[in-house]
Amino acid sequence: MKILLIEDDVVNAKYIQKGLHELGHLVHIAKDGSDGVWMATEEVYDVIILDRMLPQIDGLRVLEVLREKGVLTPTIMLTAMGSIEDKVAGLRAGSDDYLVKPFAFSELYARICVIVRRSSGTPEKSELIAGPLRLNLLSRKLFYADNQIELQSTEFRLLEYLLRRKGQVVTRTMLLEGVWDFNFDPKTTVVETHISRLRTKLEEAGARSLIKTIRGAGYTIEDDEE
Amino acid sequence: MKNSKISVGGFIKIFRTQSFKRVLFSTAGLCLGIFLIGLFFYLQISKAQNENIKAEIKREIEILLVDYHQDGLNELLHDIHERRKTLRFPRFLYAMSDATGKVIFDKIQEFPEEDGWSFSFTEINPEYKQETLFFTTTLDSGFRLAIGSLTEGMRKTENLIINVLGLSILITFLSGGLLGAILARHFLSQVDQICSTAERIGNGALKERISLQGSERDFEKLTLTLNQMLDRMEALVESIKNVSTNIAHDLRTPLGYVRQSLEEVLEENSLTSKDQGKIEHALSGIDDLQDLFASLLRITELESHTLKSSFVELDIEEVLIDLVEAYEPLAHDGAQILTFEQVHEGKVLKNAPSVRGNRKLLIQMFSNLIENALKHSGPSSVIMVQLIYGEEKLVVRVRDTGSGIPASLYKEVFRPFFRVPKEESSRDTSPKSFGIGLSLVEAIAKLHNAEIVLSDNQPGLLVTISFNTVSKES
Repeated sequence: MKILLIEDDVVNAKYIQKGLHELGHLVHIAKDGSDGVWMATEEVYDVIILDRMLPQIDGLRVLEVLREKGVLTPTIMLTAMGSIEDKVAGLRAGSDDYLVKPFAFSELYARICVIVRRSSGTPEKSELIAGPLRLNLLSRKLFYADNQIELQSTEFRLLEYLLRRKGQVVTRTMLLEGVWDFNFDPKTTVVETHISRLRTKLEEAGARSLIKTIRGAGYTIEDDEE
Repeated sequence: MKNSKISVGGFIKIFRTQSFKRVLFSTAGLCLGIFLIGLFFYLQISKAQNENIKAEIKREIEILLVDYHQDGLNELLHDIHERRKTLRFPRFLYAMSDATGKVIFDKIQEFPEEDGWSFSFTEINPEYKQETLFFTTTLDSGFRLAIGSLTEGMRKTENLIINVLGLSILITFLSGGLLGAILARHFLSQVDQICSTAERIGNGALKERISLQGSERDFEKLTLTLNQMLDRMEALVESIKNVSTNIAHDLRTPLGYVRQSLEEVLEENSLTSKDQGKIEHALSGIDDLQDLFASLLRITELESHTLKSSFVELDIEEVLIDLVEAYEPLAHDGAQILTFEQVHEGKVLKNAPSVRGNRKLLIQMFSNLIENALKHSGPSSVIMVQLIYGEEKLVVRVRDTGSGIPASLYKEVFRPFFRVPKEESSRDTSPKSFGIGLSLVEAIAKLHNAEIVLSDNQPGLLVTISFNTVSKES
């Protein structure tokens, strides 16, 4: 997932970013409200984590502005103010959920998964499957049949991206943008090298030719092994 | 030293200016004029004083000689004695020698040997003698009479004139020199302003103009002319730039059509594998061209600075870590080592300083530099990405141990389409490279007000990019 974190407290922002990054998500941080509004309107995010107390523009106002601009990205609001009135104000401003500080990271992540699932209308899968390959999104583990395959966070993001689009052709440009946040074509074989590494790991576990190259188009992942 | 203080070099510079030399030359002319007038004045006064003394002495002699002719030598001696006795400060000095030449009176150093006008010294007291002008005449009795007058008054006047003249010349010369220095400094400040503006324009700031503020009329005209010339130059450069941008823009659509047609041909089953290979080669060529055009358009967009509105406060460390993670497998495959390092100059700050920028552009800039380092360094080379937190700056260094670039080309490599000549470096200059990557890097750095410097990593290339941190910028 691509997540926007609008938080002025650097220590807290780093903590959340690190946690989400380890889970294979791409996290952009905005350090104040105006940066947050700009980033949320310029790019498409799967979820926004918004701090209530922000410099320049208050978190509530940020959310109101975003909703006025038609940005309907699911948003979870973080705050130190835990009264019923505060929660109501947050939810009324357009927040999808409200989490009071201090919180456990696992709770934040669980709530993120809930609001994403709710907004997409389809139940959020806890596992992405392609034939005997199973990628567990909660435990962040990959299994081929009963064998566990160790993945690095970039490899996890790459495989998740492909599995979420199972059966579709994923172009090099899509991968560059979605996995590495590149909006240009590097003159090197970044994508090919990472795909090749992932393939090697899968093949070592016995999953041969699961990721297919579509000549001149990109890559695809399918259920059936040839 | 700045502003009111001028350094030694600054003085030398002032003395060498034409305006200073001209003022100094005029001052010298003025001093010569003063000297000549003074000399004339001196000579005239000296002459008048001399004639005045002589006339007085002559008159005294005539009076005494009348007495001598009427009443003889004794009466003459008596008259002289009377004059010396009654007057406390006698107007004249009297001396007389007898027929044998023996001096009867007075204490003069040397009795004039010949008749007529002569100078001698008179002993005022044993330690002090004074110059005296004498007129000497021989009486018919063989006695000789000398009447003199001290020249002290006359000499004092002469000295006074000389002193006044010298002082006038000195004051004129000094004030002329000072005026010259002021004029030269004023002139130089205007020339310096023009020079520094020209230098900035030479470094690429084509929008810079010479300020008209404080310039004199002559300079105002020159400044206006130069500024008009610069307007014209800027317009020409802009139109040249627009031509390449327009070409890049307009060719993208036809290239897209060509690409599409080739792809359609490629999908036909009747093609031999050889033909397929040729078409794929052509497609890859078109892709490269499209990339080049995209880069050219991107540079134009960057130079227009409109992208500044997309700036947000961001964490460079996170960008660099992601990039190193992305490129590490490539380095590994090429038997190279790619590492990331964080350095704190001074104390470690709790809240690491951030910069304002466009995340995607910075990713492109650093990715370009890392790719260059990977491409131009051979196996077993080390590529290090360093993030240095300084007191005021945040510095990113990308260093490799490859073949490097000759120092003479450090500026050239940022020029679009410039490629390091093969004989200058063992760097890879594959035909696929258009020499646009570093131009793009420089344009992105400039947009972020970051300074980019190339230097020798001994061996290899060291690229240093210094950003202003958010607190400093605000």
